[in-house]
Amino acid sequence: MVEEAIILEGLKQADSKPQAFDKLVKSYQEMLYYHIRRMVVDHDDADDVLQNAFLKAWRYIDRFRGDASLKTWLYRIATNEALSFLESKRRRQHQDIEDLQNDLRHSLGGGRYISGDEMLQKLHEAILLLPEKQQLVFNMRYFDEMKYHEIAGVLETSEGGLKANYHHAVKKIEKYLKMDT
Amino acid sequence: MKEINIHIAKELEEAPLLLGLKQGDAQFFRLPDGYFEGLSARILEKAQGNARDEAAVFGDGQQLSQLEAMPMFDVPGGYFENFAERLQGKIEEEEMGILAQLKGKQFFSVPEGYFDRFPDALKTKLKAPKQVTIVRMWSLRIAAAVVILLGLVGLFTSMPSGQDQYVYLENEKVSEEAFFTLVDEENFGIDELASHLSFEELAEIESEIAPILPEAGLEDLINDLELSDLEDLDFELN
Repeated sequence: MVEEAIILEGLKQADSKPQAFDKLVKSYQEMLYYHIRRMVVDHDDADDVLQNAFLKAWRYIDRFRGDASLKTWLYRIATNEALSFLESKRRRQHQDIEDLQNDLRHSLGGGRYISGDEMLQKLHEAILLLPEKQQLVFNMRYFDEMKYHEIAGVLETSEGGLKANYHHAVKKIEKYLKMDT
Repeated sequence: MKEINIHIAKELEEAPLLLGLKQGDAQFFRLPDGYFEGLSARILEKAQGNARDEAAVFGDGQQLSQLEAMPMFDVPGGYFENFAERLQGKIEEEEMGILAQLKGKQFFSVPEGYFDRFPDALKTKLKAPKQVTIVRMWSLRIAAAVVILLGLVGLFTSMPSGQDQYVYLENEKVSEEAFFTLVDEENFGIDELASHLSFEELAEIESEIAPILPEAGLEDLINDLELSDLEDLDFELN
């Protein structure tokens, strides 16, 4: 929180803005990258989306009112950017949602920069089969260990529903993982 | 003589012996003379004596009463903060079964040194922020204007079938596919877009497109469009 306050203070001054932005990028690049990567799967796509997310953050930082934390705000931008990217990709390829999900799951098997661990692959397949909101909630809770109120801030929704979303996601993933094991 | 409570006397009617003793006011226990005189002073003195004894055992200022107020067991700092959340996390973990075993393992990897290079790569993009902003802002207007112009004025011509299809606008060629993908993707309704712009605005845009086109490239501008940008379209055009 102290670090965040320092970054925000730096971003307000024109002369310290580039340095503060550099600090912001270094602080959040990794967590945002993986958050995006879990959604778009391909590294190059994740790189594009991540860059766009930070460019938006740079462009709109003056509009950041501080109602949520900087982390929440950045996650929100990154999430929207990734969802827009997927939607755009789906329309460009004239796919329905199911086709897109199949494509993404397929690329888990043969993509670059992927560990190759079968169980982990199955886990990500299961995640990509979830409805969008359950997917997001599960990822932020399970991988990023975010608190429900933070996730609620990112998705601009109430906390109560998120717990149910997470619970359903866990049950579905477990069921998928137990299949053929 | 103390009067006997009538209810008690009634209860004791069946036990006359007891009643007789009561009535006889038999005082079995005796008190030393003047016992109740100065009783409070004696109690106070005793209390002070106890305090002196405690001080002798536990040291100055360490009264037993103070020790009682001190908790016998200590907890790590902040233990009770977020206790409920930690507990919930634990419950979730137990519910997770297989998922718990996979936790913390990373499936995705990145090219070596990717995160070291990323801030610089981003800076390169930021180095021409004005151009990017102008291009992106104009890309919206150009795309809107071009779609409208094509729709309203019929500026485009298609090549014969079997060849690549292009839309011509002055000296710039843009693949027809790119155009209609854009129109389809973004649900651009020509009528809807036209309703946002007056003819004066269209004319103004047209005159401003020309100097930008050679530099930016119309196709790139259109390809650069994103759904999120289009959310701003109404704002930009209104």
